[in-house]
Amino acid sequence: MTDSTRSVVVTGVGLATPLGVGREALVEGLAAGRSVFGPLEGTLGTVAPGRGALLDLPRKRFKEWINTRILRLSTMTRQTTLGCIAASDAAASAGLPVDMVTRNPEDLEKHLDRGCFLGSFIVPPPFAKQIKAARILARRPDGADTGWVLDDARLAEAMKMASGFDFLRALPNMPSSHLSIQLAYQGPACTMLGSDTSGMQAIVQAVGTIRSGQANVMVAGGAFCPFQEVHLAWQNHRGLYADARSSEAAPAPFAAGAAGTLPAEAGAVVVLESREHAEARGATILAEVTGAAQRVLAPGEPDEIDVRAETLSLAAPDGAVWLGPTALGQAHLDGLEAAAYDQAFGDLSSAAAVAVSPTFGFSGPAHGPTQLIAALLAAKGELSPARAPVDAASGCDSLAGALGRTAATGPGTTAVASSFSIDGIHAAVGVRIEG
Amino acid sequence: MAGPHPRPRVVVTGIGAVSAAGPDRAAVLGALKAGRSALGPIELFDGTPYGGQLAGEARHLPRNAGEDRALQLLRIATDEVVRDAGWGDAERGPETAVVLGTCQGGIENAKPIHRDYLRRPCPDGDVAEGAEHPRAFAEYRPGAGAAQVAEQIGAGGPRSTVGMVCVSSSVALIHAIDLLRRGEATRIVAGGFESFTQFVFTGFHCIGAMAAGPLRPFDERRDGTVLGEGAVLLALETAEAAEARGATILAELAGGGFAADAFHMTAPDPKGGGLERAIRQAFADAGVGPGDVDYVSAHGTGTVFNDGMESVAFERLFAERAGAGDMPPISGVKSIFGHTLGAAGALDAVACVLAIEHDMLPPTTAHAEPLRDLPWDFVAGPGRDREGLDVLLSTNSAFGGNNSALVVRRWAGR
Repeated sequence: MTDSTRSVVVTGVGLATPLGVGREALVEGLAAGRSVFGPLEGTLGTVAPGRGALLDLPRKRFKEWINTRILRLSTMTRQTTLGCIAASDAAASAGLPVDMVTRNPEDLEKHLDRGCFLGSFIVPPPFAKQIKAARILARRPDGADTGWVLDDARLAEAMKMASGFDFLRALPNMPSSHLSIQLAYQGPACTMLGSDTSGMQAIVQAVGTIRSGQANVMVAGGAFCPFQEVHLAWQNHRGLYADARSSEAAPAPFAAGAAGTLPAEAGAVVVLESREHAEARGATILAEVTGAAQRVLAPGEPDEIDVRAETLSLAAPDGAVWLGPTALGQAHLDGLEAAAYDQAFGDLSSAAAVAVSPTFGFSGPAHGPTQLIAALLAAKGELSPARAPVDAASGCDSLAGALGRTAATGPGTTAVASSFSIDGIHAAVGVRIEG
Repeated sequence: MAGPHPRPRVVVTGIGAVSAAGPDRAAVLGALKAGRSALGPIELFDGTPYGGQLAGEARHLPRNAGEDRALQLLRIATDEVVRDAGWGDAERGPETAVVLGTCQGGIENAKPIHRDYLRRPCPDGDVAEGAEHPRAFAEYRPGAGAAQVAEQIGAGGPRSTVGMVCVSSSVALIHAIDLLRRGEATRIVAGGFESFTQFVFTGFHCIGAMAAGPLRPFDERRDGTVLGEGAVLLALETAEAAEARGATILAELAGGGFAADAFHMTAPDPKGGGLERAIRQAFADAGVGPGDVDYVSAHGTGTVFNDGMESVAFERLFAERAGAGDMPPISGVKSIFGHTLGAAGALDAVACVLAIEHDMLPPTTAHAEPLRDLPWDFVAGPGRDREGLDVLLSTNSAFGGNNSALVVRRWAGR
């Protein structure tokens, strides 16, 4: 039976971002206010954006988070790897078992009510047509050539390298399936696809799964690696990215002259539990979920801002002190977002906002969950984001001002994060900090 | 927010089904009744290098229609499901949602458009600019199918895309049940879609999962699966909403469950533990038990591992009935339509709805030597008349160890 009043709490957070693995890396990186973008290598570096943010972690260190006795790194895509590292980090943070290698039947029995939902994207293997398509797609709407060079030798090499494992790795359920294998979670497992919002959709769906009694523990969030020819070209064509080949400027959300964002890879997940389950095992409760909502801009809908604002209001019905907007640094999308926050919450003069995009850019389905974790940690008082004041773009004054501000923290403090996608899917999650 | 409340019941009021058997649900019904396989030689690309294997292609579909094939399948199914449900302007808006499943919906979406780009002469000798074909980029997204359906039916409620390979559309149906029960939508178009592509075929071929001949579910001679394609959608509504508008209720989606093996990336748990848990969840959700089941539409891919795992799970689940010689009939309709991956769970569920509606048991074709000599009724041959079907179980499993189960019931009113 669905119980819409069943309290769902956050007991853990897990991160694998360009700042490093774990919440401490995020806290330190955002507090320092530094950017971690670097030039992209090989052919990826020849087209805009030319720069991006990657997790600088030697492969041999993956074993610290991924149990290679039950999972093979060679069969995992980068985004599956990031998701597994983040999930392992989250489970540890929540005081839940991480190493299930023994597969003891009694231990496994405890994991029947645990599941994982992950938002991600289909990543095509390096097949010829995708590369050809990338060449075509790598032109911006204004017609400016991005400099893509078709490499016939590389095409031939890519075809020779294609194998059954390429296919298996690319199957869309692999991110969540690997999570379930890694953690031995035998409840619902699902990969949500579709858009940059899918990571937040996974969290929204996970909250509902706990409320409907299908699970007591859900690891939910997003994992994504955009450093693939077709995807970069596609986002480039959308005009999402700044051309950073000859500039080291970082994304500047809500600022006048914001030129676009830069790509990042990340895995970001939260551990959600029913309150009774968390309390029964003596877990530390970080926050309670105040709302989790998704709304869609339908054909004929009056205004996209209305839909976004409604999503925010449902997630944070009593408002929010700490805000985690998408904050891309893309002028048009920033304007829509600022208007939605203004409409949903009214006066934002006492609210503070946190944004990871100036530090490491936009990680697609992982971005919303990352923003949620950052806002939660800021509301908890663990994270003090450094942010220089910006010259606000027209209509973005309130969120631009909130980015440089501090606000109340500690028990009772509310936070909300949102994720908006180009195809009109909007999702938001609100939390209230617990003592 | 309301407290705990009796949950709404979820009913099926319409079906849209495009498959290898034909462009509508009547074709699905015809193939099921006749036990007529729609599998044939591959026509969409040159299949000879792969050994001349079979496929369940929608040969009735116009080729090179200037529209992506997966979205073409989906558009036709959407037209039918809305028509079948009798939805009109009153059903447009924010209370209508879309939840779809697909395996590789985004991978080959833009292939024909890319080809056109490459062939298109440009004044400067370079490729055409993408801005002139915005659809190419929109169709890259795996969520393009759900976006298309939403636009086609004017759905402004929640919209999501589940990417869970063979359990995609059954999990989409379970998500849809949840959304309706939670009151986040009043009606939902839910199901899945998949086009037959060389990329996916090659992938399955590489891992040795393809059959040399027909797809033989639960047969000792089984040697692999045969891929198909299709778009299969169900119009789901709360019973209250359906009755209020005087809709014809085809069946009830009484419950669902999904569970992970957490065992291995490609191999299923040979004990079928995850599938058994998914089925037991679905039973609990629907308020029924193994003794109530009148028919099982099994995943039945025809692979050695899947069918073996399923049979073990069924053996344990229905142990009491098996001991009494009362196993429910079990069949695998993929032998007729091929394995439609992202659409498979929805197609299996539709087979159950049609079974209730037309008092018949969907059959298994190409079945002659029962797996492990099990004395079960695999409904070999044509569809069989069977009145009074009440509780039907549909199961699916996927690479990565994902399992799902749906309980479809005859609607007897509230």
